[in-house]
Amino acid sequence: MASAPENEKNASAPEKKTLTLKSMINNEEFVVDEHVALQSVTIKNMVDSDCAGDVIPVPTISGEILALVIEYCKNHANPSASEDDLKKADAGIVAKDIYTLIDLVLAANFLDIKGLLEVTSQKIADSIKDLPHQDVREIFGVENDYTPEEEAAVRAEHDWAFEGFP
Amino acid sequence: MAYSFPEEVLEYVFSFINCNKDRNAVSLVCKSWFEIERWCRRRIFVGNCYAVSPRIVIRRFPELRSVELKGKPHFADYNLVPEGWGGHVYPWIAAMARAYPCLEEIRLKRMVVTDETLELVARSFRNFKVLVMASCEGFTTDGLAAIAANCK
Repeated sequence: MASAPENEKNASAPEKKTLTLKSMINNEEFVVDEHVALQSVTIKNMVDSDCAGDVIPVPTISGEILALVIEYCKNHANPSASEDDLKKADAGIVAKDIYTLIDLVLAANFLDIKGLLEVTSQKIADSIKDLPHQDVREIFGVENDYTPEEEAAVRAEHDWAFEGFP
Repeated sequence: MAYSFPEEVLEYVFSFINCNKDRNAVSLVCKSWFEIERWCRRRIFVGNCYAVSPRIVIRRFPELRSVELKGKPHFADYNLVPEGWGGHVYPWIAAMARAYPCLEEIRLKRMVVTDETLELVARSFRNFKVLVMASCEGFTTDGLAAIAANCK
């Protein structure tokens, strides 16, 4: 014999508000508890000013990256997580290749999540440590707009002025 | 793959790059990175105080908080550099006093530091925190007293 039908049971439980975030890159949708999503100042502002519909479209962020962002927000919305737990969890989230980190830092900036912006920036800075500028240029897809003479002049200044003999 | 990077994100990422060598690499990437980097560079190391003039340093890095300068070459430690060789830090301090009111740290090695220089340091930087002088010469307790009296 079945007891009360499922939907009735749910209706009597205290309602937990959720938001749906939708990546506009690949239309992937994520249902997230509101207090988790509100870690993003951008989303909080939308909700506070009643600009948020049932589905919040997130432009320029892929589902893959959005999933990482949500994982970060979930961890940090958990009141019983210790500082140590969070540190470990953050390290796991940013243990990615440099291209994922670049997407992630842009997402953290767009969604305005200070903590995620910080850990991702630190990881990017660590990742480009000791790399020659040509590699950094290629990783970030930056076009070199120096003439060879200009580049040589900047390099000469570094060699003589800002490193120097021991 | 090309990214359109908001300037504030680049500046934020750069702020986590502490090593000057890596900072220098970043500024060689392109002209806009050079610009962003130079405005958020807080510390420099000049290995030879005559390799660059204070004017050029100030023009390139307008917001420094910490400056490390070396004067005489290391063999000065063995009395192999003639008296009066130079290595005077005064021109640097005079220029920095005008350009960097928020300077917090000066580290000097093998430089000539007069009492007048120390007095200028003592009254020029409102948030001054660290003065390091290694193998420096030319000052007396008067100069040190000025520092002690004026700096927190």
